[in-house]
Amino acid sequence: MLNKDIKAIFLDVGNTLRVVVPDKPFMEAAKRQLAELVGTQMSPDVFFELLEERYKVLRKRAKEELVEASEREMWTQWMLPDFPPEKIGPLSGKLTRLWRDSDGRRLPRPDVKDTVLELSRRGYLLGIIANTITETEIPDYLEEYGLTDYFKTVVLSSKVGIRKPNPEIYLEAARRIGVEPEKCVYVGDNPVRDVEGTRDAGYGMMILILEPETLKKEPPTGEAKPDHTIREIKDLLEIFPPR
Amino acid sequence: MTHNIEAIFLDLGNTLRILVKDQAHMARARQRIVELVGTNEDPVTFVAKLEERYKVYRKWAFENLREAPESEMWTRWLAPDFPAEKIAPLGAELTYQYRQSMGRRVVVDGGREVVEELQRRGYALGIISNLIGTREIPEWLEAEDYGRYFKAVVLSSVFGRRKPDPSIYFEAAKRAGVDPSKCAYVGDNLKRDVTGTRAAGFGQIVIMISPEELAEAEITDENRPDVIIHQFRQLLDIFPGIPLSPNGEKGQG
Repeated sequence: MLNKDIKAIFLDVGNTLRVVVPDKPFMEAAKRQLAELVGTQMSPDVFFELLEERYKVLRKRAKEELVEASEREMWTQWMLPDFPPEKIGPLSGKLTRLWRDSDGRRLPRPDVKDTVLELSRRGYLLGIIANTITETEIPDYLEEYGLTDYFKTVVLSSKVGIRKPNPEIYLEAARRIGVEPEKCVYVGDNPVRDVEGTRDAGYGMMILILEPETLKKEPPTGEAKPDHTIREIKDLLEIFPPR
Repeated sequence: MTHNIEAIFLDLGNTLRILVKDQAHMARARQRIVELVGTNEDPVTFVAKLEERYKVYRKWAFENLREAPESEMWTRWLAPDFPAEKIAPLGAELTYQYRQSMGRRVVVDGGREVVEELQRRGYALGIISNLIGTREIPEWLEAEDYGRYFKAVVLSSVFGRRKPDPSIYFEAAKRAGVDPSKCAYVGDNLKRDVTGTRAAGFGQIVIMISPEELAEAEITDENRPDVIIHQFRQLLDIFPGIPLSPNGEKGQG
């Protein structure tokens, strides 16, 4: 495979474009705000303990069935079914953001912006395929860092309802960007799921970014081998020459 | 915060106590049942037959929201093929053993600590439970020294009416001497524990189920409890204590 044949590069977000940085006061504030927004009678800690137990059940289903609940479904049906849906439904976007913030601050890797700009300048179409529970966080992040215009296609599991590694989500992304799957590449951090799903969808190439945190949790099995491994986002510039 | 609650009523099965499938315990109970009835049938077969008959009884109890006296349950439903004059006096013992044949009931993890702490915080505590048998609960309260925590214990087997008939909740509130609006109920059944409790005007309904059960549950405007918890000790977070009244007295504020 000649790398020049690649037309579209899809990137993962969590642990690829951004990393999670623990920040105690930030996390505590998110917890408090979430509890206040819901208007629970419980202390934020106990309330979160309940939510975490419920979230685990939701995660298990998401991972087993490769589906993603919408924000509204997540909060009215899974997380807070003991509150009236007419109250919780309209808050669900905000609640999801606070829920995400409660496990840390998400910061972009330092070399992301320059690399994205350069890949775009070199003539590649760029897109995002991410498993995420929020419908707004990634678009907001792209906007905040001035990246919106560089990503032609953004496919989020929370919007399309299916999750990686379901091949359908990669195929949907390829369709939206208008490039045959074999001319698409995916850049992600999960050594098993991201490799297998991409392959099943018939993508031309898979690039694994070595992320110590991910590799610790989910070590590579050896069966699924990426075409390239990189340590930093800017290493992509070595792989993709100007077209 | 739940400021106006003064009395908390607990369900027993799957709330304060859980069933442990202790095979030896269950086998002893089955043996005792065949001895009492005086049958030559194999204890396992005989108890399996009782279970089939019990389903019919239970259907009647559910539909009528009633609980039959033990002797009647045995002579009419469970052992109608044995002489009534022999079975009727054994009703209490048979019911006790029949319950044991389902397993051993143990208090949930942290149960005593939570109950003690709620009492210390000033709440009047009680039990409202649908169950057959008049003997088991009084004996258990005595044997494990739980009686001192509970001001009112209302059992369907003694009271005659079952949850969700509002009368059983009214009775409990009356015995505790607390207005229903200041009573809370803690149970595990979204189908039965919410509507009746609401109809009785209880101030707060807490349901304790596992997150897995919650994911399967269907919650509507009719059966939505005030709070859902997953562990018994989380009650301590819902019930912080009875607030002080303006003159500094606890309780009737």
